Order: sequence, then C-alpha cells, then structure tokens
Amino acid sequence: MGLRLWSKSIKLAMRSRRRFIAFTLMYTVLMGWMTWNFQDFLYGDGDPDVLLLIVSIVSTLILSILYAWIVINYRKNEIATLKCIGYKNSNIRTIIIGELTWVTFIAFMIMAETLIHITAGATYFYQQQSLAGNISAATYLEKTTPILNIWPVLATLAMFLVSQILGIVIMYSKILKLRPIVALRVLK
Amino acid sequence: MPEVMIKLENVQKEFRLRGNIIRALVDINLKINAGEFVVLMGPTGCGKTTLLNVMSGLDLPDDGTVILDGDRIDRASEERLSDIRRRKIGFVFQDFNLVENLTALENVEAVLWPGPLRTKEINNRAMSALAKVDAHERMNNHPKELSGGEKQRVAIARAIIHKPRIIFADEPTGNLHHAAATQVMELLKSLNKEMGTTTIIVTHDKNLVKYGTRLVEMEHGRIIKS
Repeated sequence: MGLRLWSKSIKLAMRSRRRFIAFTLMYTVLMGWMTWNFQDFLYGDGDPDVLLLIVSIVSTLILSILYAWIVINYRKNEIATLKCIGYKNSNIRTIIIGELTWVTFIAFMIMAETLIHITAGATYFYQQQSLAGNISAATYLEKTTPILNIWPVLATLAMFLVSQILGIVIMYSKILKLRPIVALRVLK
Repeated sequence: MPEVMIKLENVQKEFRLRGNIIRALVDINLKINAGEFVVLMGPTGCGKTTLLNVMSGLDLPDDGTVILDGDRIDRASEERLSDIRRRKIGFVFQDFNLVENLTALENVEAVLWPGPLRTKEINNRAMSALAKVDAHERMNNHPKELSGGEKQRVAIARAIIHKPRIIFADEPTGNLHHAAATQVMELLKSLNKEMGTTTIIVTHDKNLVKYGTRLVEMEHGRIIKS
C-alpha cells in the first residue's frame, strides 16, 4: 500500500513538469555547489571556506521548505479532494515525501553523472598530454586523481535528505490543518 | 421496516461572518432510508450545502447528533471520518475535483490506492466503474481533455468504485449544459436503482426534482418540507 502510493507520487511528480524540471535543476546546481564546498572543507589545501559551506546548507534548507510549501499550497484542492475520498493524513504525507525525495534522487543522479563525465574527460585530456610528453607522469597522476572524493558527495546527499525531511515536518501541520471541506470551497 | 441510512437529531450549525452570527442549520431532524434518492433543494444560502457537509462528515455540527449507517459521526475524529468516507461514502462535486495530473482511469483508481487490494484488482474495478458510466473510452485522457459531462461521469465512476453505501452530490449539474446535466442525472438515477446506493443531491435547480424519490426543501437553515 505504502509502496503503491510511493510509486504514484513519483508519477505525480514527473507529471507536474514545470515544477519538476525547475526544482530538479535548482537542486542539481545546489548539490554540485555544496559538494564542492564539502570537498574544500574536508580535503582542501588552504583554509576551508566554512561560510560558503554554511550558506550552501542554509540555501538547501530554504529551497526544501519552499518546495514542500509549493507542493502543499498549490495543491490544496487536490489534497482536500483526496481527503474527501478517504485518504488519511499519513497517505497524503507519503505522497508528498515521495515527490520530494524523487526530485532529490534525480538531481543527485544528474550531479553524480556530471561529475563522472568531468572526471573521465579530464583523465582523457591529461592522458593525451602525458602520452605526447607535454606533462610528466607525476603531474598526470596528480591531475587524474578523482576531482571529488566520495565523502563530500555522500555528505551532500545526506544533507539534502535531512533538509527534505525537515521541510516535510515543518509543512506537515499544513496537511493536518487542511480540512476536506476545502474541496467544496476552493473553486466556488 | 426500512433501514435508516442517515439520522439527524436537533442538529445546529452557526457561522460567524464579519461579527454576525449566521444560523446555517436550525433544529434539523431528518431520517433518510437506505436506497432513497433524495433531492435537497432550496434557495442560495438556505443551508443545504452545510447540511450535506454535516451529513457526510465533511463538517461537524455545533450541536445535535448525526448517525450515518450506524456510525455516530458528529464528534468523530478526522482519522475515523476518513475511514468512514473510504468505506461508505462517494462524493460528486460541482467542480468535478479530478486530479489534473492523473488520467481518468487513475482518478478512479486513486480511491483504492491506499487500500489493501492488489493493483490488478483496482485496475479491473476502475475499468468496470468507467464502463458503468460509459466513460471507458476516455480512460487514458487527462481531465483537461474531457468535456464537462465526461468529467462528471468520471467523477461519478470515482464515487462508485468502492461500492459506497451512500453518494453525496453537491450541485452535480451546476457546471453542465442541459444535455450533459440530463445525462448525469439519468446516470445517478440508474445507479441508485441498480446498486441500491442511497443518493443525496443538493441543488437549486427545480428541474432535478423529478429524479428523486423524495424531496427535502430548506429555507433559512430549516427544513420546511421532507
């Protein structure tokens, strides 16, 4: 039952195309930026820029709350109608969480895919340079060390998931307060 | 003795509007038997939609008792009301209230998604409900691709998929032209006969009275004829 609602929420997320594309792109960019900041914080040479990391975390939190707010606020009538036909608050919550985590997952996949391609491209470039004798073997090895380590990537994913949960927790009171009678009122 | 589907005793409901108290329902006493097709009529603002909301558990009365198919719902929790709505009630709205991002078939299926039935069974039931209202040919269309009459037929299929004991319809023909309105009313009437589902329709259209087995008239929050 929960899995079915989860899969339907993915369908609903994909079909609200503009919102889906806009937030997936914003999440992707923000994830890339946050990963970079984590990388700098954990493995950077000089002093890590903590402020940038904090700004990226706060931005993620704000964006997650905004997304949850948009999903709930712009679909009041739909949520109220679902309540009229017997959906419980927990069912609605499953649908909303499913939608938000799906966007996070897709954005993460795009970001990971992009990083893999950048790394592969850089490796190829420096390999060619090394074969042509333009750079030394030591430089080649240094340059082709993965651009990003795995931990900053995982830390970013964890941070995004936590902020999604926070967004839902904050917005859940809106779902609880929304009475099914709204389904009759909104359009009149 | 006929089975009582809905029983209201001394039901009161007030609203506050800009400092004024509006008595939407005043001492309502009403019994509706199983299988009846009730047309609830009255002028705008007489309290008929409020009465429908109270009878269906969408709104709670300030005072009085509401019993729906043996369940007292006037003080029930939202979780309990959700459960009752899922098992016993079907709704048909004036504005259809279909989910725009779902197809006609999915809109009908959506009622059963949170339940224990297998997906295939849900799909079969939804197709059968759509066939019953003659909307099966449009099952893969989204609401925006349907006419008003088609949307309302899909909404009716959604209201009957879980075989409810009672259907509440709030101005079901309010947004339809005459031909589509007639079709929708004929459909509700035939479903009432065929399935024995108690049907309660709120309307201000006197032309719909002929479809009912019983007329309940309201004025100023009171029942003046039942």
